Amino acid sequence: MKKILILLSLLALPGTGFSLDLNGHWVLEKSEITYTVTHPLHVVHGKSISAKGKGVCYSGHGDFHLGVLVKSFDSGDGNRDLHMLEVTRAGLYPLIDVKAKLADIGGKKAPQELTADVTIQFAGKTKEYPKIKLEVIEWKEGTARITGIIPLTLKDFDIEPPSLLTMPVKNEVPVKLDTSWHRETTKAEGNKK
Amino acid sequence: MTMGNNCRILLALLLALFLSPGNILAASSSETNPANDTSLSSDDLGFSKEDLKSDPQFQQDLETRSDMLRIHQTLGLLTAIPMTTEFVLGLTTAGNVSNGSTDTGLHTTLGLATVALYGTTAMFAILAPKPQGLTPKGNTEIHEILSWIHIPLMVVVPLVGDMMNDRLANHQPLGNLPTVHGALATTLLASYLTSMTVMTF
Repeated sequence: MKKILILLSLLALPGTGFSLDLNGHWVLEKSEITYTVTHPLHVVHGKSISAKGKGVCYSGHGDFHLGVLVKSFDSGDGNRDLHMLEVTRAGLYPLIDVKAKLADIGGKKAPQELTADVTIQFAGKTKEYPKIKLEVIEWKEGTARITGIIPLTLKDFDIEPPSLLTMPVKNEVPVKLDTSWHRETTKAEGNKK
Repeated sequence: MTMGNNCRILLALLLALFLSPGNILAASSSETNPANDTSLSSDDLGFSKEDLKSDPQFQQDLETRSDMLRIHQTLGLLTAIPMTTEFVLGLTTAGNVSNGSTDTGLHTTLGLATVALYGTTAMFAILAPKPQGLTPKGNTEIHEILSWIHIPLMVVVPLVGDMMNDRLANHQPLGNLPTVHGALATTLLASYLTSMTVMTF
């Protein structure tokens, strides 16, 4: 009998505070998305804090969707930002659309790292980035802060590298994501509160 | 521990198992999949239709602007060559004039050529389409502020030079015009080269 009790106790542990119930809808609370462009004469960082996103978790999987307007990026120079809008065809495709599929996120204690298959629609092109490593900075019941770097290149989206003094920027433009999410309270949960 | 107590504990643990959100029994096929709803479309992210609207005219303006500014950049770099040469030539001409020479022809000709090249460079920036909401900031802002120094000087410096040429032709004393001309020309060259450098680095 004791053995059965110990076994049942162990099975019950995940449901008594050691696992996180992630199922449900998630909303992007705040974010900082930064691209880095490298030119032989200088390195430029463009940042946006205006992304919007939603996500849904179910059965240990997660589907997250994040959108950010190209014009919301600020590199600290107005003329450079306008040139960036031109080369990325932002007039025709104003939104950068990021979809991430996460697996194996259920029933775990706060993980250190997640893996996501990321699909990006940008400048009228679509590119998939499989198995992107995401770092979990914070992972609590109802909130999560996740960061990661997408190894984006200009060629992936048929973007001609802008040049200054006939020297073009590097093809590699890594994009750093720093996102904070919170789980949406359903109407029923809200009424309880 | 009695058999009755054991049963109660067993019952409590079984209840805990069934009620726990992360338990293995709950992860069955009967679980509803919230992804089945359509909440992950771009329209649902909360952007306005205006934000997501494709605007070919805006793209066209951006491309025209980039093309014109690229020409502005090239001509601007080219203009720096005759402007610097003109400054050095001005120093030599000033020396010759102070020694009694009245020949300022080469300095005047190169000066007029520099003004023409400078004016063409400026027009490509002035006439480039300016998208709505464009606010200069960063190095572009410094570049524009400096232009408010060298644009008027590009008018004043040749005018002062012309006044000096008139006086030389009429054998009148130059007074302090050479000093003024030199000081203004130095400010012009310095502001122009700084304006160019801030856009490069």
